[in-house]
Amino acid sequence: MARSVKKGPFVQEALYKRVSGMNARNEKRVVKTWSRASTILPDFVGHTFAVHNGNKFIPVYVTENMVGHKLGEFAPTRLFRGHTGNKAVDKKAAAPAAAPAARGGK
Amino acid sequence: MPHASQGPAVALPDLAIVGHIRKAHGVRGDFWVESHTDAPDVVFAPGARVFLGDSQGPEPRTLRPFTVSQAASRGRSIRVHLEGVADRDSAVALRGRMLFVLRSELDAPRDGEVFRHELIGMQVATTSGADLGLVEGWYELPQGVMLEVRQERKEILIPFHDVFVREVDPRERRITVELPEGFLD
Repeated sequence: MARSVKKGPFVQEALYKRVSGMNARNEKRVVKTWSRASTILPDFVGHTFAVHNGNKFIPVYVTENMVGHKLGEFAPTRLFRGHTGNKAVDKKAAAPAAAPAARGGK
Repeated sequence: MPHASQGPAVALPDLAIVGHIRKAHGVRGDFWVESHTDAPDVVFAPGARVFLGDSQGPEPRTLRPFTVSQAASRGRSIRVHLEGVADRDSAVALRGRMLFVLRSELDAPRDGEVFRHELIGMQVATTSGADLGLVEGWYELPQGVMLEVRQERKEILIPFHDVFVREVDPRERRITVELPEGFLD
């Protein structure tokens, strides 16, 4: 069942305060967090979070199309190192609009 | 064991993985391939040459190429038939193996792009000149590719994103990154 709309999105309070403080100071530094369940708010866009995946911190740079997803969606708990196929990769590539929740992918 | 079709053996192969063989299909030696290439229609076109191997590289005894005789795509998978793989048992024996092609036969990447296999072994340094280590691998995450950079005692993950990666120089085998404060803590 979806979360009740009247409650608003869940964000860990400490995390929200930290990001709000950085926005007020116009500061950009990596925010370490274990709060994988926190929803990505529009205020988070442009910040980099180090999201714990149970083993290590995965750096997540937040873009506009991640808003509404949870931080944990971008820090998979099982990392599969890719094969050295000949797919080209572009460093300008943005995150997908709807990120797969469990298994990752393109 | 399937037999490679006639063709010149490659002495010093410079190959790239283009697919991962999955389950057999039917009784005529067809099998499904999980594509690891941007251009599966070209790489697996009938008449194309592919090599067999595992994730460590091609096998010396199978350095003769196999010729693709039929291919049909469905989603991200391709059903392939190779000359010399004539029955289901031969196709089942190939399950889990990798398919390679010569890198020289691949189209060059477009401007601003780089082949993922070329990233492995590149030197990573910050814009201030600090050496961070060598790219040991990469992960495909929902938000894009993540580089795994090996340092002496630990590994660091760097998103392959415009915000962090300032320059990729394939000739110098060097990646220049600009990391935000606290990234390496």
